[in-house]
Amino acid sequence: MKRDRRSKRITLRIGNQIAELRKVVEAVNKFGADHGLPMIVLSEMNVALDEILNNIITYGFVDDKHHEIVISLCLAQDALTAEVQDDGIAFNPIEALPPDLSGGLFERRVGGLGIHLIRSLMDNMEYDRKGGLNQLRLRRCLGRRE
Amino acid sequence: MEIAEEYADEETIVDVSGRIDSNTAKALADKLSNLIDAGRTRITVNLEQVEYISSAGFRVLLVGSRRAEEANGKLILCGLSADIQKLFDVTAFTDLFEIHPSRPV
Repeated sequence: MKRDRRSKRITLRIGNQIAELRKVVEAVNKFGADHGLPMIVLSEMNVALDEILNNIITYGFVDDKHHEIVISLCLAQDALTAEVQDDGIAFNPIEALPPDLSGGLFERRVGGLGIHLIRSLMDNMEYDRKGGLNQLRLRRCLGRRE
Repeated sequence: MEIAEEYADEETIVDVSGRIDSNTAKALADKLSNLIDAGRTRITVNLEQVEYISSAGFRVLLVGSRRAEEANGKLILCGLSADIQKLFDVTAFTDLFEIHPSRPV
């Protein structure tokens, strides 16, 4: 049996700036290409990570200091999982209220849409607060909708 | 993300390719804003080559569409792939826009 030497887990660290998100997209796409993951899985994981990281960077920090956000990608037989860890203010996205999706062009609000997208695209979302850190795990099953 | 534009009389076609996310949405916002400020308020945004749109991108389309209508114009979308259509359905954005299957020639 041919042994797969490519790591099934990678970790990257980014600073708390929106411009850093490009590195996350590149890492997800490289990881996906290395393991032959379907484009839809990568796109949906990229959207989910964009939403949560944008939230963390925009609202998570009350000072102007540099903060590190740690993102790990892990591939199991049946799912791609991303873990995001940050030292910002406690925020449990699972408790976020669903957005109001009614209303026409001039009434619609975009607040809450990001968490709604994560919930809709991912199969599972787990949150924990430990040692002053937010720890979020996003799981996207493979082979379900592809 | 890359943006190209093409003029046909009063219509402007904006061809977007790549990802519309937190990092790139501002470039599209600036493009739509500049067009509307210049009086080019009839805009079709072609999403055929777009990989995905996050909520930052949906916000830009919503604001662009509102601004176009306020200026007596219209922002139309076209070329939604099945993957992009799914994102529009999840966010309930499908009914907010006039969506054409393909790009005007």
